[in-house]
Amino acid sequence: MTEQQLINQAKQGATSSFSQLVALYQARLYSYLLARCQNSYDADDVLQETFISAFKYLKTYDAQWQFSTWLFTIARRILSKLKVVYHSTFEAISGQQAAVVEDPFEVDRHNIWRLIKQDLTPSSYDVLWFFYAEQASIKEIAHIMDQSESWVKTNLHRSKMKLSNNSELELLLEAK
Amino acid sequence: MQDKTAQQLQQDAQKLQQLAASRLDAMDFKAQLDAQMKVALSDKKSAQKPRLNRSPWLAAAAAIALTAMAWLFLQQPVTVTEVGPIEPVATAQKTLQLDLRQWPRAVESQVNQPLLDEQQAIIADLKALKSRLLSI
Repeated sequence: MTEQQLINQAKQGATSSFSQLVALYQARLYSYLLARCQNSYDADDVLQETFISAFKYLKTYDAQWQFSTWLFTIARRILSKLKVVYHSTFEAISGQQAAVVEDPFEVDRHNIWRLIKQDLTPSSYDVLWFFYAEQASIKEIAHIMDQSESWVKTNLHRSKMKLSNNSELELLLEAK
Repeated sequence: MQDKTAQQLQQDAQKLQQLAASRLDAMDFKAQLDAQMKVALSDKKSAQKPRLNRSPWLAAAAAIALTAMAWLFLQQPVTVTEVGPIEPVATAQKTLQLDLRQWPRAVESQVNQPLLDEQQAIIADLKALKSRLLSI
């Protein structure tokens, strides 16, 4: 069964078809969230919330975009909400950032994305992830980021420039 | 960016994807999501159920009440002459005149009595207003 057929069936309320869609995309989405979130618990929550939202609002999915693009768009929105919650609760109460628990990179400390995360802004990190890890087109990335294509191109160019001047990254690449 | 960096970015992303897949298997994500989906589905169904719309009942009740009021008015029409201005009972009170020789015995009655009189007058006015309103 094709992806489009699964989507059409899920739109009719077939949960088994939606479960198959989840199985297709869960690892891709979760790897992005694991690398992006402060801890793995947040990644778990955002992943679950993303699929539930997708299930609820499946009828609004526009087939001109890839299904993964739609999922990443939802995930980014939920991530930004989570960030607002953190700012308004944890930081307001304790005056500190939320405690980092169970770092997703703990098992792979030499992962290049860990270093990039420290060096780039979240938006630039996302653009780079969608471009290299997801191999999405500029148009798709612009849609996920809710920005223009020229913004994506500029952002990508700046990120590449910044990374090419990163000596730590150079060392890491040499070691690998 | 060099090709090597781009290649490494893709390779490390794949490593993260493998890590993600193993974590998903370990935490039995599918079962958790299925349970959540059932809840979402039941919420959706309950939202779609036709609910008793109260507005038609309210409209019917209002129509009945208005008909009853109109019928009462036709039975006992109120004219302008019948509803004349109400003469107030309450009037301005005289200023306090205290006889210091009778102090302090009379002071309480002298102070309180005018206030009590005024209170009674206001109550009488309110009663009159109320009866007029009810008779309309």
